[in-house]
Amino acid sequence: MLRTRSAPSAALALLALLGLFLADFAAAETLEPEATDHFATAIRPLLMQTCGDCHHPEDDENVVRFLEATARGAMDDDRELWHSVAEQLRNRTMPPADAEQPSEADRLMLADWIDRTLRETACVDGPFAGITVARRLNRVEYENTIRDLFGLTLGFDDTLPADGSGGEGFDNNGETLYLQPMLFERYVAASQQILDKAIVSPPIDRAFSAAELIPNVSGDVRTVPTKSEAAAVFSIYEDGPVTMRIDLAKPLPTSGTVVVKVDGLAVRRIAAAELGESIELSSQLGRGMHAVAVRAIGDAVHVERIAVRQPGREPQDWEIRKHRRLLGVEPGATPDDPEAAARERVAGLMRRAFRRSVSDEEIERYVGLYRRAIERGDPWEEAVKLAMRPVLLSPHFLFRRDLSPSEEGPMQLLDQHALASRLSYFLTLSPPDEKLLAAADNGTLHDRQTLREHTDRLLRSSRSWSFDEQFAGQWLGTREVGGRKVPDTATFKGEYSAHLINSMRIEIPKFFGHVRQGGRPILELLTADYSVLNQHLRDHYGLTENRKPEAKWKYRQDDPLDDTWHVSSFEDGDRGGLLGMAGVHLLTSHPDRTSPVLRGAWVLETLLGIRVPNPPPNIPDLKKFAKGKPLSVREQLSQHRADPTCAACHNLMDPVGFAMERFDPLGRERKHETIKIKGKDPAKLPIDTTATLPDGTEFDGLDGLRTTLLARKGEFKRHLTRQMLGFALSRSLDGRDDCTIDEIADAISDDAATIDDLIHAVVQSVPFRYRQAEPADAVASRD
Amino acid sequence: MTDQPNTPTSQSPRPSRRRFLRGAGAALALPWLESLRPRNASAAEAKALEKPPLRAAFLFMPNGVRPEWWTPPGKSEDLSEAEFPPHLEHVAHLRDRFVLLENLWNENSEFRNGHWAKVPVYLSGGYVVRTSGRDIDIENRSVDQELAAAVGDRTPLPSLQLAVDEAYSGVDNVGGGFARIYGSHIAWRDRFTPLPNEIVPQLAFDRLFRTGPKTPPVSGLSLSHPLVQRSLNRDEASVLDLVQEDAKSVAKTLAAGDKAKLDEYLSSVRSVETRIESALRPQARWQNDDSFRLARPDAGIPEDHETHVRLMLDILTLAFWTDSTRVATFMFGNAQTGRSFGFLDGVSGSFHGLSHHRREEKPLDMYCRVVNWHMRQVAYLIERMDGLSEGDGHGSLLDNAMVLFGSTLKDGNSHDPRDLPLLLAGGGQGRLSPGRRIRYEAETPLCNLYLWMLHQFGVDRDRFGDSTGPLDRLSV
Repeated sequence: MLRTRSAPSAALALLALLGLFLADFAAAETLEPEATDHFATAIRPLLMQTCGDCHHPEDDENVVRFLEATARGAMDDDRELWHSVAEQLRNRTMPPADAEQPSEADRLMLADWIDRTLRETACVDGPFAGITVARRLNRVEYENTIRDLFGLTLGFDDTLPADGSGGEGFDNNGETLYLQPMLFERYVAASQQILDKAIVSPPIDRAFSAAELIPNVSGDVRTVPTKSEAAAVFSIYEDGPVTMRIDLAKPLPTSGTVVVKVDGLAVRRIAAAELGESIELSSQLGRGMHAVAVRAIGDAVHVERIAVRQPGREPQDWEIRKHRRLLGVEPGATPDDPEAAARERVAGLMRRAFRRSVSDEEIERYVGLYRRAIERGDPWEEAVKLAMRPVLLSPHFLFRRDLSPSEEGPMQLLDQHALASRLSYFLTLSPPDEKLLAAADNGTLHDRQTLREHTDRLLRSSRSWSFDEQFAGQWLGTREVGGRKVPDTATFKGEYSAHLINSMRIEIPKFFGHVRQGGRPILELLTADYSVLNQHLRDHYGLTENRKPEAKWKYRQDDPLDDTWHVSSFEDGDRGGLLGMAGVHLLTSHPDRTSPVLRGAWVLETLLGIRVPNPPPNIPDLKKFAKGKPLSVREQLSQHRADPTCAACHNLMDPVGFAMERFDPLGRERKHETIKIKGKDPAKLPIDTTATLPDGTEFDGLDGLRTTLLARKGEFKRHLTRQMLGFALSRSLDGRDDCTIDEIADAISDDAATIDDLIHAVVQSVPFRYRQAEPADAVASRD
Repeated sequence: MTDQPNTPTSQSPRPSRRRFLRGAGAALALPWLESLRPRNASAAEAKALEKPPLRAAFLFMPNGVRPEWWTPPGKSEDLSEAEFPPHLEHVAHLRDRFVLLENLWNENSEFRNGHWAKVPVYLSGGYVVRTSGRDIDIENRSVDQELAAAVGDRTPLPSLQLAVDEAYSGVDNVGGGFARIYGSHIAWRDRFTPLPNEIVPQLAFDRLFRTGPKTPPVSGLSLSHPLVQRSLNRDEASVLDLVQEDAKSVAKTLAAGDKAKLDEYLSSVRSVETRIESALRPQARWQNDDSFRLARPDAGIPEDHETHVRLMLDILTLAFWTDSTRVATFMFGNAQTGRSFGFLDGVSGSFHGLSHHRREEKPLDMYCRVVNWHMRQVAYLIERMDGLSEGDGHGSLLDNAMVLFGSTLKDGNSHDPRDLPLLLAGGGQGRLSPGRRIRYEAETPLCNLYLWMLHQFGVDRDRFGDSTGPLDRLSV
């Protein structure tokens, strides 16, 4: 049970990591031509030595069989597994710590060789389409879909439980979108809530004659003998007060009590002496069936009629509009041919909600529910409502599904409607509109020019704001700003407001959207000397008279929100591009201070796609003071960069972060780093934004960092491509997608390439338009 | 009895205390009726149980503790004489209500990522697969869900998952390529599927009662009366029938991955259907009086974090008290929770940030204050549950419960997963002897405790996770 694991020596770890990052970061490698049997003579023997103890190909108990490959070409049989071999070596998760370790040079060489080989051979098998599993609408998509179907914004993107995410890091990833009972309960409740809002229900106003009371007995007057009762049973469609009036016939009882029950509960007791000709009462009742009953205790009581009424409420204009839009008639009106109209309306909703054409057979099943309601006497609009309810709970609505391929072959073109949905949810996070549905109906969407035109059309629509917000916010991580990521209240008391923090989050997609819609080059995401700002940010960035840099600015919490956004240019200073945005600065800071480490890791990972390994446990202490003098964050970090176990990674991360030190956690430009010291005035330490990378590259400040990043624009674009493709496909990418990623990255390598160019390339790519055939041996569910 | 027992009258405006919460369920399903539904009004009445059921709650705190502030010095196993170190000081007055369990751990959390992998392992003991999402797998269903599978069908909710942080999204590549979703869930319906946490108090509260007997309070009409069957109140069942047909009609044409998703869908539909059905024909449930009344919380999430946490703990208590469920989990925070605890005196920063205190005086002090604050919330829950008597001879709600509080790290700074800080409160209906600390052999599987708990709930099995046998010495 108990394993003892020898920790590799710190010095070796240093060498490995240092080498690793030098290699990774300085991606330009010069490659010697490789002997054809290099794998068999050099690589495989080393792998056998390193991994063969447990993964020997002749060992029957070994299930991880990558060493069965005896030639380089055989690696293609399981590229994923080989990616994993490289990653495990790189992350030092294999061989296990209690096994003999390869030399660090060998470890690195093997990982690099495998990665490089996989890249070189990416397109050998031709393009790979992949399979995206059925994916539930996430909460943003659900909210947008309801908005498009009913014209209602009900805030489900906030009130439904947050969706976890996976794959390339987006919450539209099918694999991690679960549908558990709690969520389904929510959908059940939401379906009622939505339809109640979309359809104006008629208030009840009904009188029950004596003969209509339960139990059923004929006659104009119902005599209720002692200890028994008579009830009027009715349904109401909207919660609210209901007035009930019971008209009594003579003779009135002279002794005993009359009890009025609502839903079985005695709500009124009236002594015979106090009885008049009628009894009136009012109750708050909910949607559903109810009963008001008269019970006699003592003398029999004679009932002539029970009238039930909800005070009429004039529907508001917006309610009338929603009602008309969904049902095609005014509130309270019934069409001439009620069932035909109901069928037409339900079918129309089904088509939009299921995002495809629906068969008569399907429609008929839904209309069955309409009849259930009509048969029990519901008004027309209520009967339609009932038939529409399951539309919102059907798997056809809740899931986006790529229809199963029916043809032979490794890949099939997606069903046209599935393609329409994929395109629409990619670029607007909402269902296909009428034009797109029509194109799918007509079968023209497989035409690449038509597809391109629809792509352009969606990119210009106002609904594409969701794309900017969700793609940019999740790619960059700034969606968390104002939620998981907020400044420390104690440290920055009074120096920000909720509006400001929210503005920081919104600035990112506003800017991204501006670059996209303006047809600006992708690289402007890094280099722009402008941004899109509202008043809160213009003040915060010191662009107005309201606040000068370095001044203590007290935010009033009750300032009104400014939601008008304009392009503002930065004439001087370091700010500009994503790296200059307060949302990024806040995201990559600790709540109370900046963190060059987090900032550096963010730039490497988010902008360049370089995976920085796990920090080890037992991080050594950093001294905050030296000889009684406070140290800047930079000076503190220099201590552990002096520690060999830490230096390898931090030598790479920290300098990148140092270049951003001009900006405090709130994204304000600063000249000093302020360190609070107990019982003394805070120390003001100068900021040093100069940086040197392990490969010797030197730069200073954001400007220098931008230049350094531009020198690696290929990596930047490739990573952005990967992110965009992952978002578009809603699935994890793996080694087999390298071919597509490389092709798209090549297509946008020109400096003038725009975000639209990238999106078009993604939409036209094989995995976006095709689906991989299910391998025969995988046609079994996970259990 | 002189009064008609089941009909509230003007002479006895206050109905039998024991009935209030049944009524509360109804009152919530019918919020417009401000009073109780008479007991014999419908066929949908529950029979009462003879004695309270056993409940289990599992509380999770991220980020560990300061070890020397947790483990009491000395060797005595009797907590009445123990000296309580600073973290435990906050629960010291409740020392006869819990046991401290020492030297337990999850072997599968060793050498893994400091946080993400250490959350699902808490209640499952399983090995968490490193993945960005495609192959989410924790090897083993969590123990709360094992319990829910065993006793969940006896209550309207098989189990309840509460928390205060939204699920985290994204993939932590810096942290080694784990989907962050791992760090947001301790309850797993199966090894592949986490259960979402309810974090909004009002929604959690409503959920306890949502499908309460929605109807048929119509005097003289039984559930099977055609009027009732045809009524609005039964529409949901018809709607669910229809969507299940929809699902089944596509099932034949599905690819494997899609089929798994559809199965998940169908099982959720069925679970909601079951809830509706069982609300109409409730099983024997334990019925408590109205000594614990909780107003329906306002919409949204309270600004004040402590208010939020206590409200969720109240709802957990209410769920047990009303026998709405017998199994619950509560997460004080997700792994690496970024929540700022600046609202505490002398603290600035997030719990996770402070846990990396590097043993420096100031952050360590703040970190300890945050842990202490958690201990005060635990004390609040213990007191709350202990203050609720379940009737003569039945003891308090706490006496009939087992409440585990713990973290999956010992030292938050070094991320050490050995000798986890664990506190097991409650009497477990006499199965637990509180007031003690129990020192087990080093590296005893935490799953041994879960195996023992499963046995207490009548689940007959030999193994859970990496258990080596049921934990002993819990009662003397």
